[in-house]
Amino acid sequence: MYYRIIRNDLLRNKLISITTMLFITAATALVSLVAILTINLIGSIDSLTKQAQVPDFLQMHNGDIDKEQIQSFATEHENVKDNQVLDFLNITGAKIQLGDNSLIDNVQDNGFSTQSPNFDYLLDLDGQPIQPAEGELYVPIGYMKEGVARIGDEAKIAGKEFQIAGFLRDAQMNSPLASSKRFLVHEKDYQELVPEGSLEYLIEFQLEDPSKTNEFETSYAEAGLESNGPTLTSGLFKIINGLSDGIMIAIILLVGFLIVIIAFMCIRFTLLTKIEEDYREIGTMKAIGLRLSDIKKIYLAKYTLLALAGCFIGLLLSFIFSGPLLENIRLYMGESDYAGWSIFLAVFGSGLVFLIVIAYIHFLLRRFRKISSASAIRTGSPEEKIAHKNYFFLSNNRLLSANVFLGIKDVLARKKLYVTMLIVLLLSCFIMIIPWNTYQTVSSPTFTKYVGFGDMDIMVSMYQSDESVDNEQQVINYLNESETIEQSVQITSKSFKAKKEDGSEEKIIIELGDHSAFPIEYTDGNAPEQSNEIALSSMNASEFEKQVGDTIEIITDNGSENFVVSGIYSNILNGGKTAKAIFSDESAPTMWLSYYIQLNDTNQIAAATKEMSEALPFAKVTDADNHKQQVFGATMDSIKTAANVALIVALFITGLVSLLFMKLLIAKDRPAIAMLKAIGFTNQDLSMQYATRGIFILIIGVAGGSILANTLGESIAGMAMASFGIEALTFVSHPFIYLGFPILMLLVTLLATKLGTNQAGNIAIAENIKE
Amino acid sequence: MKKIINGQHIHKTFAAVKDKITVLEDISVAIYEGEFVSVMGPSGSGKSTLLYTLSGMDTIDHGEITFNGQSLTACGETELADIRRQQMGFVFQQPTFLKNLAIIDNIVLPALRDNRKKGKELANKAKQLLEKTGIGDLAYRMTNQVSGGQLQRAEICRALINEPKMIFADEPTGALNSRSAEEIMKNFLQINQQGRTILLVTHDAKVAAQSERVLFMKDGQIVDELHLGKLSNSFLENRTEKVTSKMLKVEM
Ligand SMILES: Nc1ncnc2c1ncn2[C@@H]1O[C@H](COP(=O)(O)OP(=O)(O)OP(=O)(O)O)[C@@H](O)[C@H]1O
Ligand SMILES: [Mg+2]
Repeated sequence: MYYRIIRNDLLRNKLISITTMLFITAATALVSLVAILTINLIGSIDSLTKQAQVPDFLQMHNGDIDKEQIQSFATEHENVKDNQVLDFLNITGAKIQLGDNSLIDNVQDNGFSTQSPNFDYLLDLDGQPIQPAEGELYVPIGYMKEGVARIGDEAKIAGKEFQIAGFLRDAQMNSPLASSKRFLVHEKDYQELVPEGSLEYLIEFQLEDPSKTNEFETSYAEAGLESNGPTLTSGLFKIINGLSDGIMIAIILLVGFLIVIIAFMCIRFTLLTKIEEDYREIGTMKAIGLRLSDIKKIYLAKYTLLALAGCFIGLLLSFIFSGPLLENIRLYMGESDYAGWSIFLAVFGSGLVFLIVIAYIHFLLRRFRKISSASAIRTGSPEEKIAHKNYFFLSNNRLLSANVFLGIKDVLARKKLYVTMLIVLLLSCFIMIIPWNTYQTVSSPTFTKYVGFGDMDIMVSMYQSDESVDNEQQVINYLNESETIEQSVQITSKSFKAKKEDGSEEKIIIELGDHSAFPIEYTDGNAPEQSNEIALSSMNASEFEKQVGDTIEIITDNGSENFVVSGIYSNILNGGKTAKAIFSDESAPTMWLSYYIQLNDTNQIAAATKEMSEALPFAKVTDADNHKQQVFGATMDSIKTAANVALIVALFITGLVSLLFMKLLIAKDRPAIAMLKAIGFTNQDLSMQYATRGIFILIIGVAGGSILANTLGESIAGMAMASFGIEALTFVSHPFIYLGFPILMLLVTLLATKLGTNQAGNIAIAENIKE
Repeated sequence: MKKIINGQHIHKTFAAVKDKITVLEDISVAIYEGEFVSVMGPSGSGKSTLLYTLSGMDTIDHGEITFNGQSLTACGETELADIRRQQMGFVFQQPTFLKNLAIIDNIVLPALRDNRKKGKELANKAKQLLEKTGIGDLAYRMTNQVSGGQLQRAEICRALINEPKMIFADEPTGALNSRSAEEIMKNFLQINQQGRTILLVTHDAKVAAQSERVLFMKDGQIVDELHLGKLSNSFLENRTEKVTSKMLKVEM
């Protein structure tokens, strides 16, 4: 018998049943998707790290090298498990031709090397170290993704012919966020290429106890070994590998969380409406002494059925959707070791959603106890509290038409009822805005400020070498003569030693020069303005345990000097450990020189970049926008995908919930509608009243959602970004987000209201008015 | 005299589970301007249905209804709504109001739709109507703060706010005690004296006896009719007896 009752009930309330199930489905799918993606991302990163055996500590070095000294340092140091020095033969993009594509515009440092003997392997797509044959070239996986290279294509490197034999995964440099890329060739071919490029070294260490990487870094610096280049650690490799997909997962997590809340609102609303509908019946049953647990069972069974179906479908959907979403992770990092775990967690998450839904329904059904049989039988509906305070008389109102007034009045009078729709619209608005604002922020030109770069057009940089002084003069002359340049500054990166809290000394690279010309965003404090001030990157700040206002001791020309920390900024590039100051120094070794350049005309960037790189062949000329596009392109793409999905999901939710809500409202308001029609209100009048309610709630919802997105949302996005080293994020928005999205929502709400209230026209006066 | 309502060969059926049930069967009825007509008949005979079809609130299968010379059967929903709002007033057995509006606002509601700017005037008019029906002090109460009889009178005020030509009432005294019923009837007589036509459905012979003409329905047809003429107080008991005996005859 139960079966029949439940089946009839589900069929009679198709829209409610389907919507409820849909929301449970969506909630489950997203929860399970987050589980699958997160576990697989972590798993893939881990297995890639393991297969490739990444170094725990890496010092890049440009210039002469004393390998014996490094070897003896390694043998003496107790924490070193293994060490090696790898060659990285830097060849400019102009000399690299892959099939029909040249890498001339490519901003990466493209280097060639041979397979490493001991660790830090370059892997094929099955995770095995590659041993290339003569004439074979293995290309970084990123170029496959970008479609620059294909297997079997001819490649020409500095005039030498190769055949692209395959693609390689590089646990260090895979990500577009890493600034270098390694190509793999045979030892013999490599030797032939050597004269064509400039040699850099990767000084690599594997440690017995990787948790002591920081200590190791200090002792390496103290030993005074080669250090002309960035220092990187395995932790950073993991972050850089996970960043793009991590942001996508974070957005899905946020949307998923909100959908769970919306699902609950929906269940609450439909369930309470249903209870109201059955109110008299329930009261009667209670009055004649029947057990309420029997009716309760029917409600529970019905929702259990819906939740079960919803969770099951959601789980299936998450398996289906995880395929394409995992594609990127799989391509770059290979299969995860934890595939089994991810399935287990997905099932577990779905089960959890199911249990929470059931628990929530139990909670809502407690209301049964409160139904008084006397009042239920007499009035047939629960007493609705009507607000008398602040009553605004219809007859006193001149501003609004009667229809608009009635619409607004109704919303204000039955707040409890409308709050469901309000919350849903508010959250939908939130869901739409956050990912889009994040996308706008990341893709805006000012975003580089958050990663430690000012808003420049072109950057010219060069490593220290024997011809440095000449080269420097050449650059300065060029910049002075060029008429296309609006302004430029020279920033010199020098290596100093700084004292830590415990008295030990550690290397610190300080960028010296005028930092006010191309300002960056400071998490805390400001740019250094006095010569005794210094700004630290957040990684350095935590390493030296300094905050704004603290002093840090640095060894300069004048011996040991105290600097006041004026500000802290994020800098995930360049190994993340930098500092900025304005004092001048003659004695410390220069690491590299950079020129930040702003042009008169931003349309000329490409041309100017080309001209400069030709005029200054010894320097690396980077088009900042292009650079950003190549570095953050993948990240921006995944955010954009997530943002689009969020937009569609939110509009869909808005429409569906408005429709459902209006339908239920019409059903509830039947007698009032019949009465209004009887006394001569037309169907258009009624549509107008219901549309007013919808729009009124929408306006509050959108306003609330926007405010919430800009406060709470910004903090959430900021927190997510902070875990990747980008701090103090302020949203950059776009007018379309605050104008266009509400209009889109309005259209959807109006459409849904129209569809939902069509029924109002069909309500027969006679049937609904006579008792 | 001019016919305000003229119904010709009205047929009305309802779709039941398997077949159709005929509720009004070839009814022809005319109501004249200024008349006070009541309808009596056993339960289920089609009284309410007749009232709803004559006022254009319910459709008919075939036949022809004109109101004030205009064919209702040819009108669209919007035109019907306009006619109802501007020329008709309704009083139901169960007063239906918008719960979140005060009584006075419920009363001005049908008028305010067309005259947004005249809120003050309309409110005054509503107050006058409330005074006349004897509940002037309840204007600013909410609908759940007054008694059933008082609400019924408020509903009469709402029916009058647009100064309609005709009032339709479906058992307006059905839910009231006899004292309240008497007061309501006084209101109706007053309205009728102002020249408004009234069509009233009732089970109560004493109520029907106060009208000019009583129509008797049975099984979807008007089977009899009683002309009483305008009421003069002294004859009420006499008239009631006439109505009762006719009613008994009809029900046999
Ligand atoms: N919506 C409907 N669907 C089907 N049948 C209906 C519907 N409304 C009324 N009827 C039937 O039409 C007939 C007439 O109903 P109506 O309400 O007009 O009677 P009535 O004379 O007003 O009765 P009462 O004195 O009880 O109010 C009844 O037999 C009733 O069952
Ligand atoms: Mg009736």
